[in-house]
Amino acid sequence: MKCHEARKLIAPYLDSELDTKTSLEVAEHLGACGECSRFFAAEEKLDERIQSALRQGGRTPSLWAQTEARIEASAPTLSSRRKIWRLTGAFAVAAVVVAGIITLLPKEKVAPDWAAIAEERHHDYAGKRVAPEFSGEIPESIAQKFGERLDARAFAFAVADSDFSVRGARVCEIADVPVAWMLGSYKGTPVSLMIFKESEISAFGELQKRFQSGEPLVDCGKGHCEIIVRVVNGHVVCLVAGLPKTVMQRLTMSVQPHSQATALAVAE
Amino acid sequence: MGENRPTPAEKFLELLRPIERDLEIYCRRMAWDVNDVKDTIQNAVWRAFRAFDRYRQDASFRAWMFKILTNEIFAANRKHGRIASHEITAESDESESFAALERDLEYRDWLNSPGALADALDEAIVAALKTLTEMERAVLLHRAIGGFRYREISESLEIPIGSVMGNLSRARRKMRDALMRSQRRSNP
Repeated sequence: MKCHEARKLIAPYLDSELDTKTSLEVAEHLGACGECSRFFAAEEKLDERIQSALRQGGRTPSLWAQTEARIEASAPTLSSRRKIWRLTGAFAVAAVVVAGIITLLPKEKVAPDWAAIAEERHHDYAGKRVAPEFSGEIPESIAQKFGERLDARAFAFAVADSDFSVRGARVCEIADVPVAWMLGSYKGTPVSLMIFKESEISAFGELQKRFQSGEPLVDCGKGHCEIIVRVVNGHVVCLVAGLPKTVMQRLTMSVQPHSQATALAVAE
Repeated sequence: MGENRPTPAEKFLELLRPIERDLEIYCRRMAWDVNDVKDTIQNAVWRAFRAFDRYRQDASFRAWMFKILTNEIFAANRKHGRIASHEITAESDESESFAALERDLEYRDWLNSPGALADALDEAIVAALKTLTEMERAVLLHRAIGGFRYREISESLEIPIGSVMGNLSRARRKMRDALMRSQRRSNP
């Protein structure tokens, strides 16, 4: 790749919008061209600076309390509707009967979106709203709470990279699937490593479809973060972080089960 | 499991709460009149709640809310008649082409100076937003605050992906130009 070709791709490259092949070609060029590498670094720095300034600000509690109260008070709206029904008694009876039938009908179950949920959970960790619950053996209270549904082996996976460290772990329940959640960091950036049994993947229809279509490494990031998923030794392994796609792909590829390599021992 | 099913209001609020801050920051940056922020947010949230039964649960709630809020903001801004006409004039004589900036050593030096990281710069960055057209601002803020991908921005703003990239590129260039002008003014 030539300098002018690489520079034309600067925005989608920094925004992680390029396909893996092109992204690697740009990365290779940057590795070989000091001038372009400095140019990209300067652009990235400016983008980060602008982004951080634009993201500053807080939530106004009174505004949201008022906004939420209006939603919570939506029940009275239904009451006023009922008053109208009362005026037409027969219609009200019919409505109740119809409503009863509708409730008895089987409801279409919408498969939860793994990527959206994983990202929300990771935001909680990155925003310091969630912290590790344990390191070392799984506490008895957690083991009891989830019983046989808890897959202790899931906690035996680790990212094999010297810049990655694990702060601790917890279990999060997503669509009734207990997921092992390792809270770590890569060069100071929070990284979530989430693992569950491959046999549970049917709970997440869209993710399952992606794997069925033969993608070995599924990139399902859709917000602030990169979300890369792969299957390793009968487990679905998912890495979530605000890191460049190429780094995330490399880290995800390095995830392997281990025995005593990290502080997270597994009580089996 | 015998657990009570959450009501639609509870479900809606559970999804809304984690993104309230981002929605508010986005609205503050997008709205031309700061007095519109409260009403705009409340109208958007209420509109979203009323349409919640049409929200597909496998879709991103965040993207869906940003789309509704953006429409509400555009409508509020339109009321003030603050549409593109005067915003477009923001492209000043000082605007430099991408290629020229690339060679601009001053810009490069400045980026590597401690001043580029100073808190005072935040104000200049936010002020520079005003040099963008409404669509450029919406695309840039979708990316910077919402963290959305090009495809999601395209869906949210109902514009082609090529326009997303074009608007984003122009927005970043204008921000860069405005910051350079601000830098020159403070260090003549």
